[in-house]
Amino acid sequence: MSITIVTSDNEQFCVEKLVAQRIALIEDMVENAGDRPIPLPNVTASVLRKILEYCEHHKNDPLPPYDDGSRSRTTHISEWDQKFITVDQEMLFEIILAANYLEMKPLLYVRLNVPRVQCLTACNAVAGDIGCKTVANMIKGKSPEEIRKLFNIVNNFTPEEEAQIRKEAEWAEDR
Amino acid sequence: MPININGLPPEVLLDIFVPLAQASVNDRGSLMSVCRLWRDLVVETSSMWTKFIVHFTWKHRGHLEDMIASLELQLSRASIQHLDVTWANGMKLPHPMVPRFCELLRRAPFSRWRSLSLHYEYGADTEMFLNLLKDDPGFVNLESLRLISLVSDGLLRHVNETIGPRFRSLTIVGQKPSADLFQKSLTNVLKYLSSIEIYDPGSISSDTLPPNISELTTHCRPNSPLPYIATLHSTFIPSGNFPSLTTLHLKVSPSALMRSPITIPTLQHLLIRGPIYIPLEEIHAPLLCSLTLSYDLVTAAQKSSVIYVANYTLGVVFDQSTTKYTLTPSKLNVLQPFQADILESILLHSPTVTSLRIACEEARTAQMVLEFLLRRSNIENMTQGDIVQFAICSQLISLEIIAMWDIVEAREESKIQILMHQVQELRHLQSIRYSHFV
Repeated sequence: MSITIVTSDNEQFCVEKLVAQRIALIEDMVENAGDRPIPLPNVTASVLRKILEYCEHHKNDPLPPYDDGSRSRTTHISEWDQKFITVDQEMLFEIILAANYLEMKPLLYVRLNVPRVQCLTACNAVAGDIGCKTVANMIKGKSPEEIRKLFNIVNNFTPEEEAQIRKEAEWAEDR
Repeated sequence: MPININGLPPEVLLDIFVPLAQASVNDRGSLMSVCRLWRDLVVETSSMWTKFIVHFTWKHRGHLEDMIASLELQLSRASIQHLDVTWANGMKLPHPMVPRFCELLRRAPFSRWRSLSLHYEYGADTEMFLNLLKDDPGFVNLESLRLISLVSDGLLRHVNETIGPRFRSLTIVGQKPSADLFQKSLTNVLKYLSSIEIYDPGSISSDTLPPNISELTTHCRPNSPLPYIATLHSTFIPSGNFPSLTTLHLKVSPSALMRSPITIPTLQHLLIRGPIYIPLEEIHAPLLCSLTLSYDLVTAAQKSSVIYVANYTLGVVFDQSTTKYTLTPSKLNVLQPFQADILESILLHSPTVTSLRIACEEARTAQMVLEFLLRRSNIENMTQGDIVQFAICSQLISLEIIAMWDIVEAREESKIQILMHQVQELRHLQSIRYSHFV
């Protein structure tokens, strides 16, 4: 059985229901939509295509272990996920944004085959949050100037503010 | 309009920032120096201020007031969060500064400390800590303690007397603790502990470690029996008695090679990081279900004619000559099986495989693998022996062939695609994929 999803740029995707239901937001909408297409006004076709690729690949993944949030997060990303997320910056942020809207908490928390309630409480540290981990890995160890250059961010501090921040950071360092 | 990082919602930016700031004070400093938006997020999020490092050396001598001001600011931003404290002094605190530090630490009472790493290079700040201990409720929320170099007895006693059931991990490095330390100063610590890293576990007790300690990291060959250890990280292959051992992580140096074959009847997971290769046939582990070798060791295993199947995260090794191991993984990753009959042997000993990934160096090998699976799919033409084989890999639901060859010939590719289609049809696989290794 399949359902139809309509993206913001009006492209229709016919998706196996079992795959589509892995996306928490759609799982909610499927129950009320009946046979009608499900609109996703905040997701473009190119982004949804990527997200469905992720869902398809992970659909047979086993249930992740319970995580009560006490475990420290790692920045490890599996080989396939790494390849999947090797996209340009704009697409990377689009994927993160869409995953947030679709309640996939970074290709987020929702893992396939996991009931939604369990997902949202259970698996934030599993291989899922690859979008955020990827951005974190891009930032790790870089200077503020390197980060600005990487993400094209304008330095909007006044010289006085910059001096104040430098002073605050001066005595806080890893050893 | 193209989106950039600052177009992400604040809660998503925090998903990115918080783990970075909790791991590194330097990264936290960089984050708050990028732009106003990021600075505001960092400053207003108390969970980004949990890492608290007090580290003063001779170079800080003339700047202790500035340092205290900075630490006070960090503490106020951490609000009521629990703290991961590193106290690492390269010099003893000048006497006039002790009250100032005491005052600072009263704002971050020990009851808020979640972890403590103590590293003294020139003696302990015993005087200051003893001052604080007088009216402090103690380390009731402490989960882990890491001791490097010299240790303040007074502080340790206080930790020991006040810790609660949250405590689980102790690391002692850079020193060889006396037996007295455990028998007098750390009796309570030993009671709550589940994981310990220590050079020689014999220094804790000449008899056995208490049953609550299930994970041990050690850098010498344990001589006494360790009946309750389930997970062992070691630089030596254990020769003692480990009746509960299920997971063994070895980082073995040439001088630590085993003297004779060993049997670990309960072992399920073995991870070997090297730097040298251990002859796997010397380790008898009838319940082994996963074995991971670091990349160089996989090559070594191959050279010594052990047939291997492994990847970087989960793998199994099958020794064809002795067939010692019964392998029971549900996911199996096979690298370069060379010949289809090797795959046959592997599957014969892997009855529970549901997901199979095979990386082949040549198109011909991929075809042979698929033809093998195909032969085992057509039950009508099978002999009795074949039926046994079919039953063995009958649980397969997912198959992936990874092509590792460089030159792609259309004819070969097309043949592989046809074979894959036939395998899927006959075996009713839920998922079948074919990709090129990049």
